[in-house]
Amino acid sequence: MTERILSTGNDAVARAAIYAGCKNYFGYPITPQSEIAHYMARELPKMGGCFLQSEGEYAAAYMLLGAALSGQRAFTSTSSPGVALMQEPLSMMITAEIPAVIVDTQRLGPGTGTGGQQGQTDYSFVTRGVYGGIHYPVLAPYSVSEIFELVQLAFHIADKYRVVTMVLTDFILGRMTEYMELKTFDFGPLPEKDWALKGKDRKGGRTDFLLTVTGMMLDIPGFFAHQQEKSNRIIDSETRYETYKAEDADFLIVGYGYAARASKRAVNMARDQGIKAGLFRPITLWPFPKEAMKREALKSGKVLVVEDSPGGLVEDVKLAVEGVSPVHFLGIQARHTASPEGLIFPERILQEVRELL
Amino acid sequence: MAVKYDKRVRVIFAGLGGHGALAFGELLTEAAARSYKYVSFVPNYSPMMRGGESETMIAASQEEIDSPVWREADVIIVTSPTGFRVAEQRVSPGGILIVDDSVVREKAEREDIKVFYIPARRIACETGDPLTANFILMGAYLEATKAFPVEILEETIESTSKGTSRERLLSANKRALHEGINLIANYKEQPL
Repeated sequence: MTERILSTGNDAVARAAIYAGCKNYFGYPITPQSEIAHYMARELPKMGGCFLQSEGEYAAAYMLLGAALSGQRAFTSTSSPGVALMQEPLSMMITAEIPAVIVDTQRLGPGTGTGGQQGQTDYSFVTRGVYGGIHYPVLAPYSVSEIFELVQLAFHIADKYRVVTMVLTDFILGRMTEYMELKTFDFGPLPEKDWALKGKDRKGGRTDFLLTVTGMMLDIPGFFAHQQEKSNRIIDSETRYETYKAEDADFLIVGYGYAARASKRAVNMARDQGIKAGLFRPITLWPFPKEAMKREALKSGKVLVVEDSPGGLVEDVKLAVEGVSPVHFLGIQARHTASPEGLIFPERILQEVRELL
Repeated sequence: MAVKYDKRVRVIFAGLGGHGALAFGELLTEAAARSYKYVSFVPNYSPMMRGGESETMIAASQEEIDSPVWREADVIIVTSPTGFRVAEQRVSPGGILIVDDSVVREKAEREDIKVFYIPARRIACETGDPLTANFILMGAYLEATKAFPVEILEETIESTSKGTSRERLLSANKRALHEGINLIANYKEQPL
């Protein structure tokens, strides 16, 4: 029987990485996700793994690159400003097609923000790809058990496509406690890592990797054509979303992360009042489920995007909906208090739905 | 043997950093997990370690919990003078507000909720264990709502404090728990 345990979202990230066979963690502490590093620091040495706290995020991401280049699974976790600091190594990994996982437990930005409290202000920053114009998959869980599943999936997608894959959570999801089932997810077969630098002393090992090490592109159109072909395969096979009570809905709420949980409750409260509301939840933020979004928007006729930010997801929704129905927005101005612990509550979302009816 | 409860639990502890909101939430969540199929616990606090608003939201249900965050709660325990008015507004109609009136000087204005004033901080200081104030409030919560039998809480306190720094407070915490229960059991309405 599968064991069911109480876990925080941050601990679920760490456990999932270990369940996915990842024994390498490199990171630098930052609120609100340092518990992931605490967990890895405690557990990895016991299993012969490598935990390393670097001198900063930039170094951690280059360590990640090095470890992943050896063919082993490796990951790092950080929070918003940390992702910014990792941009150069992330872009190098994308260029060299080195698979690795990065978890961003979002905190409010820009800048120092509130010093580590709730916010969903990274959406546009992380879904538009690295500098150089190449996208990478971004998975957005909304519960502790889904964090546990999607972090394992992130390792699979990373290895399958040789791409950096991100899991995007937030302060609330990282710090909250829920039940989850401990199990290893099987997502199917993976290609052999024949590109990995395994060293001279191993049979079939490689010690050189020209493109990777220099980062040079000799055939520029060829490089981008290959990346585009890979992006298209990811779009075709990995786009994920979920709907809730959307079948007969004439009002569709769209959200991800904790805002999707608040929205789900708003849907239930609206239904109790006879309002046919439904929820559309993108699980992959890139690739964004454009076609499904447009189809559901067309069906319900009215769309309200809820996110704890000045607006990021709402842009993708508008692009996907292509004007077939009006897209309204409920953002950071809808928080219950002006202080750092402000949140968008289900009651506020319901109020907005009623006003828009 | 887990007891099955049908009653829904939706509680907020709204305090200031250092008041024990996190410990309260963690303990209540652990206890709830012994009787309910689903639980959720969300800590939400300002960046300050001491003195900032610190709130925990705890839910338990036999059905899946749609959202772990909500404006309205059935029961709110408040120890924050600055958060008091907001907390009062967030109690669902017919719900319960438990106020530590040795810290919060204001009185509730709403008439559609039940309000208990418990001087938890003062009593905890008088017994020499100021850290047990949140357990006095936990006892008050238990008696006011009958959400769980006290035994489940006692078991949880024992199992969660074993081998931790909280272990030295074990007997004091249990005593505080019963102190809170007695305060509600013998509660007399205060003249306004």
